[in-house]
Amino acid sequence: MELKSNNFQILFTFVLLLIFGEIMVLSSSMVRAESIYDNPFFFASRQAIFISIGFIIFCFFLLIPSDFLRKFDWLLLMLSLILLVALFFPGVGTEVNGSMRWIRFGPINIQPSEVAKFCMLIYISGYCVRRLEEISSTSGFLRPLFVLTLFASLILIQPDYGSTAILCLIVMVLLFFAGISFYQFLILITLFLILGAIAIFLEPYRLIRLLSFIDPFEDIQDSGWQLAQSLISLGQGGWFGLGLGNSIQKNLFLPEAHTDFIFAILVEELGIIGGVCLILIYVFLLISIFKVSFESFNKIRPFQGYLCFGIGFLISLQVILNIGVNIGLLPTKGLTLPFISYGGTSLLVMMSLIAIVVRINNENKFYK
Amino acid sequence: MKIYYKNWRLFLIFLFLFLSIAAIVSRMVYVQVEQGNFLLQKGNNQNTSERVIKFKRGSIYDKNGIPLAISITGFDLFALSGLREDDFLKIKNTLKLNDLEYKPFNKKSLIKNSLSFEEMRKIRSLRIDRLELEKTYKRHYPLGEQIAPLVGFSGRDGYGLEGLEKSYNSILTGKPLKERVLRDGARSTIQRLEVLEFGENSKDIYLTIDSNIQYIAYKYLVEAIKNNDGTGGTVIILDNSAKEVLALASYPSYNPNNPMRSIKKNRAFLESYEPGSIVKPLALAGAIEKNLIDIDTELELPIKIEVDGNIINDRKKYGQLKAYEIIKESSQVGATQISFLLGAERLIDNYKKFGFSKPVNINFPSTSFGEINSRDEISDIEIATLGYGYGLTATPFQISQAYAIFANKGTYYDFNIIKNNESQIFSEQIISESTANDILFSMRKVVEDGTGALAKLENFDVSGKTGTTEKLRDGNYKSSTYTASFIGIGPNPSNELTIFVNIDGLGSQKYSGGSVAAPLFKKISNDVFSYMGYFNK
Repeated sequence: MELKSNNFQILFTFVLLLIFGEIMVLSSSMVRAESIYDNPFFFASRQAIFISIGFIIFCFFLLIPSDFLRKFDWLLLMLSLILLVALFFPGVGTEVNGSMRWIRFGPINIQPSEVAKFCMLIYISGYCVRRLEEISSTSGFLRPLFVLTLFASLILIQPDYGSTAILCLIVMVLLFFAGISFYQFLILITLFLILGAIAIFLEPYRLIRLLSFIDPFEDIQDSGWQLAQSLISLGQGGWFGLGLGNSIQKNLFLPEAHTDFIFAILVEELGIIGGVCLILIYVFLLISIFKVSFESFNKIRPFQGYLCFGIGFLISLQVILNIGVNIGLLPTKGLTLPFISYGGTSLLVMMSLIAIVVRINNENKFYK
Repeated sequence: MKIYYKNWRLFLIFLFLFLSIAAIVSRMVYVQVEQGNFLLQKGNNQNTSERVIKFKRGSIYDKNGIPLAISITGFDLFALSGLREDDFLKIKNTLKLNDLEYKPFNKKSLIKNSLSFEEMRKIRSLRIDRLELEKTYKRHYPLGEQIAPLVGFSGRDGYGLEGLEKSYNSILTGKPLKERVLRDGARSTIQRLEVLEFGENSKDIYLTIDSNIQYIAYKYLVEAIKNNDGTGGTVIILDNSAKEVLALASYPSYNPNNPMRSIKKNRAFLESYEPGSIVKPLALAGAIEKNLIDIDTELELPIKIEVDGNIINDRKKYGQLKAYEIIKESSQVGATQISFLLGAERLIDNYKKFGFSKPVNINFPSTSFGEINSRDEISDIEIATLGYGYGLTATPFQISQAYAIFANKGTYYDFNIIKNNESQIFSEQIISESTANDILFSMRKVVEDGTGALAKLENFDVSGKTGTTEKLRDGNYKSSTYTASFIGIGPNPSNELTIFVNIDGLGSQKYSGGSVAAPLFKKISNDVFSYMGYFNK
């Protein structure tokens, strides 16, 4: 079967998501921005600036040959590691809500865990190719295991459980896809569980907090507040929504309305129909990304194949986890909705990933 | 080389993604179908609420627009739970609250009440969370104790508790507006959704009181009570032609601006007492009206008479006195004879016509209206005592309205305390104009050279009558305390004002209406007549 991938489909859905995101950030953040900064456009204007910077970086990655990334994956890995470690030096990391997640770099804040996802994807894709034959052997398996454990631990102690989970999951799925054996897969899952146990051991109250998603209204004033507000948004939105800009929950009821819980506001304003439409746009984008991946495999470009597959899976996972949290299917954790949520680093990383996919798609045309 | 990527592993991954998306969409539909109403209800509970908007309480003014009770807008500052110490210190410095220490707030607690507009703006500009400013109104009474027993006061919640503040509460408060509003997560109002109950604006009220006259009345009343070692007293000044109360002073009083005030009753409406000789002209008026006697009919008066074994005596033997001279000298024997002329039924009926024992038509929280001893088998001595003012009680306000009849050509009027042009004043012809003039003539004699000579003014002619009451105590007339009364009408001939004064709780040294109340009347009427601009003699 011949797969015809199409840059237009990628770019169209991608730009559509960015515009949609900017509108939703504007709508959901105005009240909070007004109350904190006296400027209703504080978040929306910064998001617009992030998108603009994003396009510069987008163009930059379009110019970089994908094999170049493969060659220097260790360099990216080192850079990412430096950023993650730097967080723990006093005066470098910024603490927000008890988590060390941001490095203040002049006027911009960098979130090293987002960069780590990006670099890890490239490293593991490269690894899968280098060890295509020996991926099922024990020694070949231990190296990525070591790198993953190191990175995951560094993110876990920030603490940032959502990002840790995502990082582990994409590595696991990518290795699984590349042909990891069953018992190695078991080891990975065990590692996963150990990390989870450590997290609960370090801060046991997190478990209670984690489980509050089952009935958020039981403790609506405290641990259940965020999710309860999110569900109320869904209820108020109904099938067709209150209309763009008419959300009630964004009036300081729903915390993080413009970041982690932007989907709830979207459903409140545009209804379940609007939410399903958004999911469909994601599906269109993901299908075209996976098409690029398969085309690369068909043209014997396994690194590009694994990388695109990883990118597609990362975006799917972020969308599924974020929406799952918003609608009360999963416990609350700090994850952004790709291209939609407010947040610079996440947006720039996502835009770079799309640039890489487009670049690979263009490169594929020169291969038979 | 060929890479076989299309295997069961890929299938499993795609199956996972597909099932996840399916789960998400079904969950969204499930939440909407199963919990939609519940969530909508929860949402409405937290983002809408009822709000009651009270209007600023209406002011009370005197007839010239001088404020007697006004509301000053202030702001109460509350800390909400979780107010941080550094924020608290900023507030402390801004408001200079030196003696307030920080303690963690775990519930809404008052930091300072009645902040001014300027202080409120300063606090707002600090932009501190966990604070609440509540608009409040503080009631202020510029005339203080001078008029407190009449105006009364209202509580902190803006509800009238005493005096006219209480009886006109609904007009002064208006009706609060009830509405449903949309609120945000910080509990502040975003917009009104619907009006649940329309309100009615509060209104100001204007009294007929002239605060200058009130001041004169109160000042001399307090002075006279202190000089004569009395315990209390009343002054009422009526505008006979306008049928309005110009002043109504009652002592002891209190400061309504002080939250620790202790209420003192309004004696003009509530202190009913046996008026004593002050009722003699009323009885005479009744007798003249029934053609039983003329104003200059001569009566033979012994120094004492015996009724049912009781001796009724005068200060001296008058011999023959004309009817008006009985008033002038305030003869007990003469009054007794007039009572017997009328007889019990007509005497009591006559007092009732003058308004005794009848409710007073004035909107005050509580009024007393006295009683008349009118049992079926009334004895002669009881008839005799009714003639000189015992065996019946009346309030100063009733007595004043009764005397105003003489100034108003024999017609009774309900006097107003509120400026109100809409309602018809109740009036009733009680006696003929000539009878009224006869009584005024005899009262003028009282002041000229009778018992009320000390009330005589240099520049004005007035009519008057004295009264001295021995106070009933434990059912006995013990000669320990007295009430001295004087009522005057003047200035002649317009007779526009009726002025009543009494002083209560007098000792046995100086206690008579002629020696204590008449001089007080003189001081008050002299100042009031001048203030009103009367030029007579």
